[in-house]
Amino acid sequence: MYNEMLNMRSQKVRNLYKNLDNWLSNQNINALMRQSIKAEELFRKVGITFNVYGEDEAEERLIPFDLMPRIIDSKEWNLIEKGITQRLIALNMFLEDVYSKQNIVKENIIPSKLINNNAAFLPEMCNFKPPGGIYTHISGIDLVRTSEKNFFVLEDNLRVPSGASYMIENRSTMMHMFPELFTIYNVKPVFNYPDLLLKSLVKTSKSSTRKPNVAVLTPGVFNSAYYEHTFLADEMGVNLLEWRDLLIEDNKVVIRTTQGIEQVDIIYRRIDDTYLDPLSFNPDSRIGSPGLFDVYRAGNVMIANAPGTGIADDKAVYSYIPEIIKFYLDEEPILKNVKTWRCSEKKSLKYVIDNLDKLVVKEVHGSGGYGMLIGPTSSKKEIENFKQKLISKPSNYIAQPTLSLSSVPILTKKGLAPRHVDLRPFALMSPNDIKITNGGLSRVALKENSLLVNSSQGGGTKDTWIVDK
Amino acid sequence: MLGRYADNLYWMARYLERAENTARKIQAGLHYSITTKENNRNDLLEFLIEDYQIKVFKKKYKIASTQNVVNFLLRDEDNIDNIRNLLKKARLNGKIVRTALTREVSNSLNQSWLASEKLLKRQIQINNLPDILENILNTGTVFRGSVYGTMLRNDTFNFIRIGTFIERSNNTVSILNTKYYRLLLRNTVVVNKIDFNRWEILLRSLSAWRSFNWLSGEYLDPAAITNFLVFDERMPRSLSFCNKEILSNLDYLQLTYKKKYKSYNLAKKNQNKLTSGIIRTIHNKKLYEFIKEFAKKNNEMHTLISRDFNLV
Repeated sequence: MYNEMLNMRSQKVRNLYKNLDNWLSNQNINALMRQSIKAEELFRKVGITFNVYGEDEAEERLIPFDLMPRIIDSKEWNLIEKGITQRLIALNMFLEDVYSKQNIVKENIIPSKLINNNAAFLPEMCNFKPPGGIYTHISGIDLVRTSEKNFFVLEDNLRVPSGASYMIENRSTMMHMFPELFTIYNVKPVFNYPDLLLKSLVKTSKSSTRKPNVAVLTPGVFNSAYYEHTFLADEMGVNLLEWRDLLIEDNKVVIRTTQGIEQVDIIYRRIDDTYLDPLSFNPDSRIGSPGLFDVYRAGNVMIANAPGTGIADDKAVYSYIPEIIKFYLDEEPILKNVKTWRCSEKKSLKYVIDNLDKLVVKEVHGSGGYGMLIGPTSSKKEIENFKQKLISKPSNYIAQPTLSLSSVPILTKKGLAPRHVDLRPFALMSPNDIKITNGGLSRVALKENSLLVNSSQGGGTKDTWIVDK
Repeated sequence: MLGRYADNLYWMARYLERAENTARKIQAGLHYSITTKENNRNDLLEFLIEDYQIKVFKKKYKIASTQNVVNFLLRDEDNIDNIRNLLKKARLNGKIVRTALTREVSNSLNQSWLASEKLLKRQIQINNLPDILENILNTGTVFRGSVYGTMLRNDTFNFIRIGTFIERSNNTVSILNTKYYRLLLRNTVVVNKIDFNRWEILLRSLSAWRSFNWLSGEYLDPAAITNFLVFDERMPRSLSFCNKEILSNLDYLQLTYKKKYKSYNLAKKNQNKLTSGIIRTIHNKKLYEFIKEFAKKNNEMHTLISRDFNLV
């Protein structure tokens, strides 16, 4: 296991963490723990909470915040930025292709079935080019580190990735509590994210004579990420809408304001594709706006991300990303993919079944750590149960080796202790450029040896510092 | 601004004001029940519990003990306007429009909600009541202070202020209209102790006991009291004061939106009546009719505002 702070062999603190270590040696652990409680109170006071699905609506939880920053060298970061940029350019080209000529299928790089029979593929998007040719305006690329040099992409979140507000609030909290640390380290800022987001959306939309009216679309106050929705709308200075606010008039999207009717030009939607428009997609949807998709296709509103991006972050398609990059860019991937067995293939399925106790098996469309099996930490009974599910619908699953995620220290009552982390940087794409946040959201498993970093599974977050040496 | 936002802002302010008004009433009631002999306490129930709540209360509680009345008003789930619920609703409305509020205002809402969830979780013992009420009244003050001190003077501010003063005006009018009409009809100087107590509790519930005494000496003249609560512009819970605030905020909205509104016209009409000398001098049946009429106008005002500004 790679420890980002400590060289396990020599038991010496790595260079990047030396200043932090010195600073810590002058701190009292009890005082830090008290700070940690103070941080929680701060989060609760501001209302940075989330609802866990399946629990009482009224229950609001904090995502645990760990005070120890995670530090990454800016030189390492440059490489990650290049890797993400390469990946997103290729994925955006892939989306344009699968929704038009499907050259990648014609040239037998990806089987047609995997695209055209995929639940995440939206036929309604075929032969339609979104404004500026951009599908993935906002993405969150999940990275894990396994050694000093090795970063892997675990998942590309191209639908409605969340967490950017936590990245910013974590930084505010750290600056509020430990201003001194920021004089010791030269930490690259993250506060400009909402500003970049707004600019990137406006740049991508069709040019218009008037200032475009931008809005964030939320499922509502009980959604688990509602805080983030309000945060982003607030920081961008735009309306936060619910589906019932969207009216369709004269093939335009309008809202009712205190001064009358107003047209909406750009919708940063934080609801899933299938809930966007009950007329075009899910007829049972109680949220969504009937006719919205027609307005979109007529070019009278921009929706970000474009509907149908799910086909590019599907976990089975993920396994083809090295081929996708090669096909569209003729380049070798800068960031590695985790080896992935597609259970839809007979040979792979057999291997996966024989090695369930060593592998991580995920649902192709799953997220948030739901519906997955972590072989090494599961009981025989759990593995047996999962095996039955797998055999009954193999194409629904992929498997990956259990990665040894790197660890960073968290603060516990007994002092610092290593815990596994991942990292989600956010990328903004417009026709001119791709902007990537300085760092992102580090999610940390709070239980010893646990690999589950998802907030829905008891994970916490950390402030992540990209520093110039 | 989105019509739905204006609605949330308006109700956020109304629920908070309602919670605060209830807390003030309980405070006055507590004072009354401590200082009055046991056998005279029957009217506590009548004073503290609104007409629409009495049925619910009687169904659940056999006796109108201070303990029962207080818990009913503070935290009983059967009473939709219990303070805990009001603060929860105020906060939910505020959470929905968080983007329109400054951090100070939304923090104050969160804090008042968190405090009430903690303080009102269990049955309230009378000994703890003064602290609890003080806490609730404080959070209301912090909310208004942070609105006043940190918010831009724009339409957001106007809808919050309108909500506050419509609720406040409703409260004053309903106390005068439903609880004190018998007293109002008396045109004589207070003679008996019970009447005196009732006027005291009325003034205390509107935080007006000291200010009234300060202005008029110790002489509790019903006409003077009602004139004070209806017409005196110096008194922040008088109908006149509330209407002036509503009028000025609607005036501001007219200027900002460059439109004329029916709600503004009504507020203007009310204002003319509240400042006209003729009514100022009357204090008996006519005054009571005026108050009854005003209660209707308050409802009408709510409807007009909802229509004028697309509140949903």
